[in-house]
Amino acid sequence: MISHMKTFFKNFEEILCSVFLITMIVLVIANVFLRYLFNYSVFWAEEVATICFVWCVFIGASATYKHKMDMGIDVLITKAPLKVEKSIRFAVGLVLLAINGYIFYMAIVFTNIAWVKPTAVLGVSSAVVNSALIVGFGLITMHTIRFLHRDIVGYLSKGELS
Amino acid sequence: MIYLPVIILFLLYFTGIPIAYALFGASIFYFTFFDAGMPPDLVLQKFITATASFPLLAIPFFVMAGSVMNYSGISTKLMQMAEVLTGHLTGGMAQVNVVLSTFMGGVSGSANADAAMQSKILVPQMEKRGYSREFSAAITAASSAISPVIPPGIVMIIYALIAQVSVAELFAAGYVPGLIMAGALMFTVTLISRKRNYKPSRDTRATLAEIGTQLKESIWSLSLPFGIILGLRFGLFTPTEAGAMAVLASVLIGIFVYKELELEHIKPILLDTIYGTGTVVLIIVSASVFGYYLNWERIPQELTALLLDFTSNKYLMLALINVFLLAIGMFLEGGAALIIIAPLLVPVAVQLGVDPIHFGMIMIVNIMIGGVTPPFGSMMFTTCSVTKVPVGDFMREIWPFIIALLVALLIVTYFPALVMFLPGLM
Repeated sequence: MISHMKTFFKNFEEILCSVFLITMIVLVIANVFLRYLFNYSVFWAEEVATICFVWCVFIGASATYKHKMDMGIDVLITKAPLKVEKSIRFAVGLVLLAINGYIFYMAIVFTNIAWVKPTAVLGVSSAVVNSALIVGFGLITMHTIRFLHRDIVGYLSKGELS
Repeated sequence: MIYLPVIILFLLYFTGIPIAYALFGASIFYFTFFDAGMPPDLVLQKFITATASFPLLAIPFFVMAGSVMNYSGISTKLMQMAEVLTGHLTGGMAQVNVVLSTFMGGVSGSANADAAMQSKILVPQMEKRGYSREFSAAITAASSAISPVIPPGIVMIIYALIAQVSVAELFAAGYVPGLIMAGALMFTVTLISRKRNYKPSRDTRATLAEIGTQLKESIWSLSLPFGIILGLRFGLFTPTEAGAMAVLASVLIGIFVYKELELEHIKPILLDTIYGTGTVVLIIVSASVFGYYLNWERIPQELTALLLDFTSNKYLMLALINVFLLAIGMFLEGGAALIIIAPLLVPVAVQLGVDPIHFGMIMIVNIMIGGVTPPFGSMMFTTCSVTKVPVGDFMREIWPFIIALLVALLIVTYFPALVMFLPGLM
């Protein structure tokens, strides 16, 4: 049971995204078939699929962040001496924490402000869409802190960071 | 001063921060510290409006269709077809590499996915048959530039959304430039292989009967893209729906025709799609937020005026734009470059009488060449990291192919009739 929970949390983003992804594709395909076979279309399908997509993007972004899959150029700093490289990586970690933490904070503020605004078709609170930013960047900030912590522990154990 | 965010962007990017986060960082810096006339948290509105767009759903669907095809044996069938068609030529395996990328364009539509797949599958086989690993890596990277130009491609969908042109017409416009690029690369392969004595991979040219048999096996994989384009052309479905139908079609082909798709493939397919969507769309979102800053400072308008001041000669301008794009493409990831640059340049092109569809093909071909060009091309990194070829060795082998692709770019740029011929038929 505990190992199941562990797997779940380790793959939290992937599991959530899979659900959204499958919902999206089923809705879109179903609507095409309904339109041609029964001359009928589910009026809310597009909106729900789009909301699922927004969630899929920001939670998926956290998944790629977790695995460090995002494309960046680090050839320049790997050319630097090891000590310089490590310091730059540490500074980069701090900058990322500032960027992601700030977006996370603003996402909360923004979701609050836009709470009363309804979505176009279903008329539910736009928080349904906007909170994807809170969850996504919340997770990304968490991973940023985790990476930073790991770096610091790594440096301290080797005595390279005073 | 208003260019400070641009400087910050490059500073962040070159210290190894992923492009999406560098773009976020630079934009947030601007909206927080410059008086842009709006509270910074409303910038978050831009995050949502840039993402919550039904046409963008085409991206995960086409990524997923590409992944399903990889697992359902469609890629293998395409490789066999490429081998039957070109194996007898000088430098057989290298030719197969180019033709496979051309076929794969209709399947994966992503240069990086194509480069990774061929680095894994083709490069070891090429090495076994006496090609140097550096050469194999170079031709793999160079040929991967073709995939996004052959429809259906994610980059083309993104351009169509930005420039507000028809996806179906843009798709149709891709075939000829893709074939020109393939021709240029195959010619270069022949020249190099003659000099180095790289042998054909099969002794004789395939007979018509052999080609026929192989075609019967591969016809499903080859015809899927045409089905998509026809469906779009006749208004049967929107580009997003076309993506979803492509997933459905490739699943059905994988299960009932090639019988290779299994339940256990669901997990890797979902993961491919999630990771692919996460990286690509986040870049789109961050680039749109950054574009918001550019627009707010009226930088596109200034750039347009500056360029038009410099020359109003269409041909000279296209040459200038090409040089500019090549420089950008060497540094920025293709999707990000397109989203930031296309809104800046499309108005200039239109004002000079260049068809936005033709211009789109110029931009896409150009940015893809940037992707294989040192020092920072993204397909170059993909290929080098999968094949473990050092970038320095790669650079020695890639330049003839870059020249070939540049010749293709010149043809695409200055012979618009070649590009516009197919969309004109629609």
